[in-house]
Amino acid sequence: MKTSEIKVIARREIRIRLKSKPVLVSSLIFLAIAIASPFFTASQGDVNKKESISLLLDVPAGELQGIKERFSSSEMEKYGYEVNLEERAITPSDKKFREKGPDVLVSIRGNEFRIVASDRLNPIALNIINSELSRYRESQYFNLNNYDVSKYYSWTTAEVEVVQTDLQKMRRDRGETASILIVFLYSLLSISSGFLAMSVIEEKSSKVIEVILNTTSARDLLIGKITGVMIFAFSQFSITTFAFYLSSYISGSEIALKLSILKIVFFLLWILIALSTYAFLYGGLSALVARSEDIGAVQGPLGVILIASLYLSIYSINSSSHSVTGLLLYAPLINLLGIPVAVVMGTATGIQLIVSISLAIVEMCAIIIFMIRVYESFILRTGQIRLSGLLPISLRRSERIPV
Amino acid sequence: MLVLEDVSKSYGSKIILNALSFEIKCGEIIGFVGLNGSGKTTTMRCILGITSMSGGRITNSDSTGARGSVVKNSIGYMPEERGLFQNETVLENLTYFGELKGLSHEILSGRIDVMLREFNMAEFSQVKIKNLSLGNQQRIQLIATMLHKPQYLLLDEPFSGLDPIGTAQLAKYLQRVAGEGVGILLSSHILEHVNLICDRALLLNQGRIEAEFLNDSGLRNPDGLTIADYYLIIEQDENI
Repeated sequence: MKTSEIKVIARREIRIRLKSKPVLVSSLIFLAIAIASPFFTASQGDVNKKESISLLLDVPAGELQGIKERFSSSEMEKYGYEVNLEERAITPSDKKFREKGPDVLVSIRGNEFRIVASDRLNPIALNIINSELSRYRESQYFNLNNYDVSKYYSWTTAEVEVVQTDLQKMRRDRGETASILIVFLYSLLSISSGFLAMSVIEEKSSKVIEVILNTTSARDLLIGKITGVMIFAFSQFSITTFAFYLSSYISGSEIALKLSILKIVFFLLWILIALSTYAFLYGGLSALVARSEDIGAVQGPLGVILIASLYLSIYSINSSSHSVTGLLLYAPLINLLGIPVAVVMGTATGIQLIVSISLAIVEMCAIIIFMIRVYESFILRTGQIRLSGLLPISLRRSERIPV
Repeated sequence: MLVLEDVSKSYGSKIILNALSFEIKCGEIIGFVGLNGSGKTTTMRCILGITSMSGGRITNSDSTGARGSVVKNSIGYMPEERGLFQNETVLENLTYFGELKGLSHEILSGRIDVMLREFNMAEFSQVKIKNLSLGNQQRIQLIATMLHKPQYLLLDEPFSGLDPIGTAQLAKYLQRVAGEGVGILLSSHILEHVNLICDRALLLNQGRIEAEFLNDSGLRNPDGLTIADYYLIIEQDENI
């Protein structure tokens, strides 16, 4: 491998991108979206407002502590709740309580465990409360409106106040951040790799490849081109991300500022993995095509995979389906967009992430090795190429160009 | 001297080159003629090392490259179709090819200036290749081929697309370069051009050298037959 030649090739790839109007326009669009999105989300109203939920606990003294622990456990923090337990006696003469009634009434009478909720309660909060209490004991759920609240007044009760940090907002913030990052990543992958495919086919169809291969090896040529693509894309993404953060800071939006430095570093490194995988795929497969007008044969199938990955990633933001999460983490190629979403949304465990990232790195290495062979074997061929022969020919070394 | 010994190339059962042997001496211009598909371009690609050989070896007087290919930087290659980036300027193209050959910026810019002036192309340095005439593109291609001052030149149909004046200029230039010690192998379908500048010619047919013609008496083989005569013989054989 000659680094001097790779540098020359990479420099040219960067230069042609800097001079390309489509690349310039798409870069400006990225930048505009990055700058505008925090302002847009900041104008959605005061989303930091916390809401209180009153719980009426009609439970024996021995059960009270167990129930309260459900709200003070780390399980509740996972949902984004801050829990303030405040006990006070409720009596039939309590006017405030009489007028309004509790948001949730928890009742334990013998073996009967009931959760009774008011219609006015945030349904997501209710789900969480219900879920937590059900872990304590199997329960039945009732609507408070169908109950005569007054009959409970005489019971020995304590009110527990749960202060919610707005789970919806937290999910929305994460979802918006994940959506923006994933759309950037998708655009970066499709545009950079598509541009690379055009460059490979242009060299092949114009016979420039024969002149270049007189000097350098096919492997170094492909590596040089992809190095250029990656340097350009990495710079583009870094600038866009910086603009996104700066804009978030100025607008006061929390959309980006909640991402930790670790996650940002992860994203920047992830670009290298995702982009090199797709760039080698596009570059290698483009060697199978001899004419510019046939570029769709390469871009079509890979574009469908990219769009499917984008769709599933965005779908997963509003879904807690385990099968979708599994697909995003472990399905080859789809995981390149899926894993960053899982990281931002916090839907994967640490072990799941370690396994899926390791698989993605293995996948990248395998694709690089295979695609270099495909490129070496087919870059000078102009006749009909049968896809059935792709694998055996690529694995054979006889057609490789001597270095 | 560039020596090809029993060079063979096949794709599966299809034989493209069949034990091809000849040599290119420094300062010599060899015409490489033959019908389409006879193996001319494949021979050149094997010499360049961009296509692997199935057998045989290629050496030059100085060194031998990996797997029998000649050290690449000793050769300049001009493909049949223009191997230039159409959307880039003359200067960008030449700089890129020169840098790939490992030339430093100072040496490269000096050589580009000299050669553009030599070919009367200096005023086109900032013009995109696609906006040049075919003849001028051919000149730029030749400059790109010569930038690193190769020992040998492989030219695939160098006269295609050139007008009579361009043809005469190119022929004159090639003769001058050969006079400076560069060995040239050029393929052409236009026998007039081969007759005009070549010291000898090799006729390739089905991957083998069918005949050699010397220019002592106007490119004839020892039996006195010309290249055109041989084409007729090949045509008759094919009809039979």
